[in-house]
This record gives sequence, structure tokens and C-alpha cells, in this order.
Amino acid sequence: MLLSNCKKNKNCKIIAINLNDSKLKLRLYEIGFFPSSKIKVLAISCLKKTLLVQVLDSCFAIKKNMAEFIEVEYV
Amino acid sequence: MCKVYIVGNPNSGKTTLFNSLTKSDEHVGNWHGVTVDKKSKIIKFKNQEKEYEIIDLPGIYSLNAFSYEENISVDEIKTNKDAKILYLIDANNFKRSLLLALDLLLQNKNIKILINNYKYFQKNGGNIDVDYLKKILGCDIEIVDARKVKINQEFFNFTTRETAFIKTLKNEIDENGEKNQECLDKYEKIEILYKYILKISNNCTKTANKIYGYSKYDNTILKLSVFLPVFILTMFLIIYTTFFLIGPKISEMFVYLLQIFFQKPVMAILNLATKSKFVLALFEEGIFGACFSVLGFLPQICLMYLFLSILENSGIISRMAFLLDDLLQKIGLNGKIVYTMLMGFGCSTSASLTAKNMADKNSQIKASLLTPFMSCSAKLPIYTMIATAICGVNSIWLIFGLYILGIVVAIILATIFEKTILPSKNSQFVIEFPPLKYPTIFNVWLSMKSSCKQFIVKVFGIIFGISILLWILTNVNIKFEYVGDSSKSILYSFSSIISWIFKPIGLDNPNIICALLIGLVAKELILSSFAISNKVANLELLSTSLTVASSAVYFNFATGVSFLVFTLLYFPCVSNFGVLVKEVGLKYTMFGVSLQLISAYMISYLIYTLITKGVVQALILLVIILLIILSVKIIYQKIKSKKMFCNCSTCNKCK
Repeated sequence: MLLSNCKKNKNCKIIAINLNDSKLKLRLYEIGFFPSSKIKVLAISCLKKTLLVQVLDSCFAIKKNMAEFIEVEYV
Repeated sequence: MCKVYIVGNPNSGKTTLFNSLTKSDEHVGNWHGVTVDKKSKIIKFKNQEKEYEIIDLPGIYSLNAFSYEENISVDEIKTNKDAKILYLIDANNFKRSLLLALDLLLQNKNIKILINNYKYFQKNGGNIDVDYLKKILGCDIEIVDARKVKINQEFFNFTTRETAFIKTLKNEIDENGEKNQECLDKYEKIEILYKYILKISNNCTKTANKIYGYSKYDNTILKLSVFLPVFILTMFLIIYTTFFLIGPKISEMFVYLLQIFFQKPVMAILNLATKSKFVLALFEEGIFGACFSVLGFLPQICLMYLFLSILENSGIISRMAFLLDDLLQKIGLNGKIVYTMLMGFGCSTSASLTAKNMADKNSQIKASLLTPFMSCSAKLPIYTMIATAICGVNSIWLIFGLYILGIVVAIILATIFEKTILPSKNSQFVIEFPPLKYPTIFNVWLSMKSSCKQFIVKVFGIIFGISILLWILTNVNIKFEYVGDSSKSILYSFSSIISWIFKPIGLDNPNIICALLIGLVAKELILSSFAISNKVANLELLSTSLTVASSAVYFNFATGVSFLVFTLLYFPCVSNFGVLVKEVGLKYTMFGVSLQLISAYMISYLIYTLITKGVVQALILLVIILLIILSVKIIYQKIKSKKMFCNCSTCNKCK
């Protein structure tokens, strides 16, 4: 399942990040978006193009088109 | 001299710590990307010879830079291998912060870990076993409040030793590298580091029971239908309070005190000391009139900065960026520009510097070029003075309209840039949410203090000096004789030569043109210029004189509005020019300046025509302007496509 399709406030775990942009993928890894990391969608913007997610101890806003490259599963 | 870097994730309190250690007042805010350049100061303890150069660096998440300002930090750390590092961790972001700490330890850097915001973490049920961490990591660790760190020389006497834990970590990374017969994949390295971080965290921390960066209020705030009207109302209330409710009353009192304690005593002494009309007029009009006409607005500027500091320190800017990013993407911008534009309401020069936190060059250039269209605090005195003179009690709508007009013009230009010369390069939007906080009096005071200090320094520096020069040029003729009449002065003569350019927009009064030319140096000088031309020595008289037809400078409604619109949009000031040249290069800066002048002229012309000749004429003019813009776009596209394919068979593009 993709992070972009996750329901709000459901605990998930990242399985893989399938981005081709290596610089961006590395940045995601560094801020806590790595396989086996726990993640939860907290809010979605009005035009549904930006997600607010909790990962590790922090909250990040990321674009939905980026979330489409993040594979997750519910825990 | 010992170099000491302050390193840490964005918004962990590094600049606050820097201010605390060095007794500075560098700008702080509750936003990831406030510090975009390194700052340093040298400190020395009493009776000690050794000096310490404390260097505040932009926040980084790792030793792999993602944006321009992160490159600054990474280059510094990698270049100065012997420097000491004060690594600041926000206790609420403990796990992620440890990634860079471990990376620095693996590189054998000498670091001391300072844990900040611990009280907030404890209040929410969190806990960190510092002694365990010290044993594991082999470095000094202290819990601090970055706002009030008391230091002595011992603070900087720290060394890091390699512990068994770090050795194990190094071995695992090296072994995995050998297995792959090349350097370990960067992603695998991070996964290994986080594996160890989670082990450490399980052993020595108790997680807080609240999500850091998300509160119950966010359920309501993070809805555009709620946020946008509230934000527009807030901006309106800020403008109303600054310009009408509290601001003018404090300004009146302040100017009265300045006159009682400075102007009247000094003029009384001068009247006794000399009978020279030149000297008396220079002091009365050139110094007191010109400088006090600007300084009188200090209370209102303080109020404006107070409100901006509250917004900046509350954490609301990240929420704005999140909500507006979807809409901004349609015009080729992203949510991060919200901070730059908001800072533009304070000072467009410092706002242009914050554009460095954009991830790609085109976005940085766009942000820098659009910032001057925001109504900065230097334009505030001009708006107040002229809008009040021409509109009276209804001036609030005119002033609010000017703020909105600046934003609308910026949006239109951003759309044009996106479709032509500066298309966005699929910029990715990743921002961290700071917690919503009640801004502390200390942080708000610090932000306000540094901004107001800059204003006062500007008044007593450049404005003071240029006002004297301006007064001389406005009272001396081409033979350098004192004439005391601006209509016979050097500046008036020059302005008369070019007045035909400004006739269509109703600003062909040479004294108004003088003011606009002087305003190229600093916007505050426009009021000084009016005060000198109208020979008035206080704000009240200046305001009254601006609507009297016999004054050297006067406005009716049409010319007043045209002037305000022109001032809003044309070239901001020389310091902004200097910053733009440094940040985006001379080519884009000159392009930006041309755009500002053209848009100022066209929009002033449109509005002046609307007021003086009616809607029909204005609509015809608008159609002509749109056709000109369309033609420029078509010509640009033809030139661009011609450059791509010149239909020859010899160049590389056509082969």
C-alpha cells in the first residue's frame, strides 16, 4: 500500500521508498523515512496534495506525489 | 584561537545558544530555515589569553547537504577538522538528532552534546538518562536552556573518546561495506545508524506522551476554509492597530518628547549662537525636520515588528506553508516562500536572504525577485502620512489595499515567471512542523529589538547623512549659492528635465520626482524629502502641508494614490539591490529592477487613469497593457524556439 492512500491516524510501517531522485531519497532516510520506521498520517491539505505525517518524534509536511513513492503497511 | 561550531538540526535553538554565549541578538524564529548563513563572534574570558571564535551555522540533518545553506554548514565542518563542535539536540527530536551526532562521532570530531528544550520534554512525560548516554557515546553531555547558558572556560574544555559502542558501530559499517566490495550504500549506512539509535533510545529515553509539532489546535487550524479568513482578518487588525488604533497615539507622544527634549533646546542654543539663516535652516529643516519625520514613526515600526515576531515565534508560519503550498504550486512556487514573503513585510533586504532555503536555484531567484513587492516597514511612514492626508479616516482601506496589491502583483509575476524564464524544477516540499507555542516575551523582544535597532541605526546613519546632502541640494542653486527656495535648487532643476516621464501618472511635480529619486537610496528618505521641500519641522505640519496646493509638495486623491502605488512597486532600496546582486547575480537583479520600474509605472498609470478619466479609459489601457505583455511573451517564445532550432544543418542542436 502507498503512503498516499493511508487513512488518517492509522499506525503504519515503511516497507520501501521507491524514489529515483537519490538526493531526495537520502534526505527522506535522514529525517526518519526509512524501511521499518513507524509512520502515521495526521492531516491532509484542502486540495489533498500535501500530507502531514508523524515519523520518529517529529511531524513533516510532504507532497502527496512524494508519498506515492513510499510503500507502507498497517501495523 | 579555538574555533567552536554550533551544529544541530534546524530549529533546535542554535542561534538562541549563540546569542546566549556571545551576548548577541541575532534573529531567531520558530521556523526551519531562519539562519541561512554562518555568523561568528569572538569571546574571551577574564584573565585568560585564549580566544574562542563561536560560529553559528545553518541547521543540517546530516553531512549530506540538500540545499544551499546546508552546504555552508557541511563545508565548514568538513574543512576545519580540528574545530570543536557544540552539538545542540532538541530533546523532543532526540532520535533524529542522534543521527548527525553519531555521524560526527564516526568522523572522530570533538563534540559536546547540549540537550535543549528538556523542560518541555519532561513536562510531556519524557526523560533522558544522560549518564548512560555519556558512557555510550564517550562525549560530554549537558542539559541546557539555550536562552540562558552560563559559561566559563571549562565549558569549552571537552574531548571525545572512542567508546566500545562507537567501535562496534564503525566495524558494522565497515563490514557491510566490505561485503558489497565497495563503500557502504548511503541508505544502508543510515539504516544501520538508526538501528543503533533505536537501541540507545530504548535503553535511555522515555518518549513524551504528546506528538511534538502537532497539537489539538491543529485539527482546526489546518483547514484552509478556517485559516485563510482568520489570517486575512489578522493582517487587517495588525494594519489597523499599527496605523490607526495604538500606533499614531504612541507616535504623537514620541514626537512630542523628541521635540521637547532635543529639537527645542538645540534650536534655542543655535538661535543664541548664530544668526546664519543657512545654519538655522539646515538644523531646523534638514536635520530635525527630515530625521524626525522618519524617526517619529519608530513606535509604529516597533508595533509592526512586534506582530511579525509573534507570528514568527508562534509556529504558525509552517501551518501557512502547509495550507498554501497546494495553491502556490499552481504558480510555480512552494510553501517555503511564505516565510520569505512574510519577512518581506518587515524588511525586503533580510527577506531576500532567507530565499537561500529554497531547494532549487529557480525558486530562490523567484523568491528574491518577488520579495520587493511586499510592503516593507520602510514604506509604512509614507503610507501613513500620504493616505491619511488624502483619505482621512478611510485611509485604512487604501493602506490595506496597498498591502493586497503588492501580493497580487507578486502572484501575477510568479505566474509569468513560471510560464517563461523561470519554470520551477519539480521542487519537492518537505518541511518540519515546529510545535505551536505561545511566543515568549524574551524571543519577541529579541526579534523586535534587533529590527528596531537596525531602523534607528539607519536613521542616524544613512538618513541623517543623506538628509543633510538632500537639504543642501534642495536649497542651493547651480552656482552653489544658498537660495532657500527649492524651486531654484540643483535637484529641482534636474527633476524638471525628466518631469515629462512622470506626467502620464500625475507625478510631474519636480519635488515629488526628487523624493522618488532619493527614495532609491532608502524609502524613509521620501518623507525627509517632503519635509525639506515643504520646509516643515514636525509630522503634524508635514501632514497638513501635503494637501495644501501652495506647498512645494502636495497631493490630491488621484496623485496621492498614484504616488503610493508607485512607491509600493518601484525599486526598494540600494541595500536590497546589493543583496540581490550577491544572491542571484547582476543579470537577474537588473531584470528584477526593470520589472519593478515597469510594473510601478504601468499600474500607477492604470490607476491614475481610472481615477481621473473613468472606467472605460482604464479598461482600454488595461487591454493595451495585456496585449503588450502577450506580445512580449510571444516574442520571447519565438526567440527561445529559434535558439533551440535554427534550422541549419551544422550546429549541434539541429543535427
